[in-house]
Amino acid sequence: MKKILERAFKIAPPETGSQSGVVKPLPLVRTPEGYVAIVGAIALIIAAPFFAQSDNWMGQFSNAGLFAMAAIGLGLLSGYAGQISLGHAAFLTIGAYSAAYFGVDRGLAFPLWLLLAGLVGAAIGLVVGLFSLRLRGDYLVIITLALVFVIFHVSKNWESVTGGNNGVSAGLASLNIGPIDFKNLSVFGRELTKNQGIFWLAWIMVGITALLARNIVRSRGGRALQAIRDRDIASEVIGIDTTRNKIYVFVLSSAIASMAGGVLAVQRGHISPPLGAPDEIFISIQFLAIIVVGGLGTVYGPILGALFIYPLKIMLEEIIEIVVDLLESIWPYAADKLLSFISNESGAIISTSAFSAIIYAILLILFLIFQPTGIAGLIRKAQIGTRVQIAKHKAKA
Amino acid sequence: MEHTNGRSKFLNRFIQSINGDFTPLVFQKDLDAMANFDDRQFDGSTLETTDVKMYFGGVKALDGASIKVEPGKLTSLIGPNGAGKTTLFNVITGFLKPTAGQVFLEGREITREPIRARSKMGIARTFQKLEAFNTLSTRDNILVAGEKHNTRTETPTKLEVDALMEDVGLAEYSDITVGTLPTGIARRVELARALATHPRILLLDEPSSGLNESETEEMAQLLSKLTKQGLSILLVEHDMSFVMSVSDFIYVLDFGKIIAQDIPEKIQNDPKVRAAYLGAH
Repeated sequence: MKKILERAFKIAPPETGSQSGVVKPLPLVRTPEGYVAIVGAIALIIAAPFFAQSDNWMGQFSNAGLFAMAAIGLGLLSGYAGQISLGHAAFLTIGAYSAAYFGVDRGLAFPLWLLLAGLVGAAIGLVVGLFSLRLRGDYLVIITLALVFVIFHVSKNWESVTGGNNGVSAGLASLNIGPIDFKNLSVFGRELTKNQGIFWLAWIMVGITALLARNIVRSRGGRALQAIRDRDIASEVIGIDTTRNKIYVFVLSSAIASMAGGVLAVQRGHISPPLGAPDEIFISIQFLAIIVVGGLGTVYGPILGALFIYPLKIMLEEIIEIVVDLLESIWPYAADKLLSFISNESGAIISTSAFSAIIYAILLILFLIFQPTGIAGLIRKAQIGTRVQIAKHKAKA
Repeated sequence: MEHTNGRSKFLNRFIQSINGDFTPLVFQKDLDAMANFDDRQFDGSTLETTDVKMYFGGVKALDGASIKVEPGKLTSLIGPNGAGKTTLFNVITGFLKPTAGQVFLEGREITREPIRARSKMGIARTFQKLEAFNTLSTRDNILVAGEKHNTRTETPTKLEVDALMEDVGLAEYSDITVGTLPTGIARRVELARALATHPRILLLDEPSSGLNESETEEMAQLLSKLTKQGLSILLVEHDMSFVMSVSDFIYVLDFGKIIAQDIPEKIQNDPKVRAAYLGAH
């Protein structure tokens, strides 16, 4: 046991190291802190459902997990291949309706409908990619933006599948893997709620996606993607098929988003078209905020970003509520004005979701200007700082 | 191999790969093939352009340029600024489709082939303005090119990249992000990246710009070593003493036309060339 621990906590080289012709592959986890973080996160995820006070927050954090999963896919596309998509929410929608169709209407088993949801997302991603990624430049932004509107109108009008404005129920789709039913788990004789079960499922899926993404970026395909991001012309010159690589990663990120959307739909139960297409664009912007705030060009960045950005909306709502309550007691007129400005009631100038979208946009801009490497960059800085301090301390002693 | 116990080998490799710490599986024949990279041979090709014209609207960037690069020889293309040297490079590498004329590699016409196909056929190039992959390490810059062109398995490709870095003098920079390297080193990274594609002909656009004297000297030595190994090289360069010292044959381009072609000693004394450089026509 001691040996295993020693091995696990040995400091791995920062990058592929070479001494006299011995080539080492890029390690899965680079630093001992990384192992500690992963072990800690796993422990936290296992423990959370037993200690969480509120089932609502359990639901929120399973949503955050599914957003993190989709964001890892977007991170591959934007952080590693340098392509920007404004249509990530559209793929979540596609996955959600696929879950309702394959999981409820057709009654397929969980692994099967999840796979089909991924395939539908991949197929639509392929069509979009073929149209937009053959061209050099930011055509993907425009075409994915258009996709949001297309999917919005399809979801409103393709009534036999999407139920039109009434929506469909996805809550009945199964979440069973063999004997394990994530909607109805019981551990040590203790019954868990649906949200608690989905929380575990969501974070297991995050783990699998992160492992997949990490393996892609430290392999041949990942290097090619980064080469394209850095210099697309030079990549073409050394023989990389830039178009095909960009399409691959777009299709992959679409499939991941679609699968996340499918499980999200089961967790929320009922899905119906948003009030307007802009709502989907807000969610897409939220995804961009997640990957930028979390840290572009890392796999764990999008996870941190999702944990930071996703609960922000609910916290904002609570903060607004607290502020309104406070104002009502001392300055009712202002409270009234504030409510007529931001509220979910009709007649307000902006809804809380629109307001949170503004906050995301501001965060996005602030991070791009002042902290372009995101939270991951801050962590890296702290890591290096600590190393330097330790080295200095050792040098003194 | 350090693992003799067949049963635990895979488990060991798995644990070690997580730690980024394993002795890779290498086949003896691959090691033999790579034992001495100084003996590396390139399969140099003949490159020929015939009467290439490239018009941009009314501007005649190239107006009937015919050149020939012989295998294993270093051929240079010189001329005043705006003579069309880089345009000809772009036609040869596929960035531009010429208005008229053809490009032949080893007798095969490639005028309309896309950039990537030409890379597969063995045309490699560097750029006047640095085009290194700035966020990748030196090794990954070279590896990403090697991987596209290597029929060997992963580990031998990596070993080959290591040998290449040693050869070009980049071994000490292998793990450094290229964006942070000085220009001279980054130029060598670009050169090594081009060499990793197993080229038959190498096109170098101003390889000595941004280099100091000793670095230029090293570059010259490296180029002559490469031609000795059989590689055909086409060079565009401003530094005349550099060109004169390394070239086997020189073409002089002015206003899109070849005004002189000869061995370096004769080009130096050609009155037409002197006139073109002094601006007298």
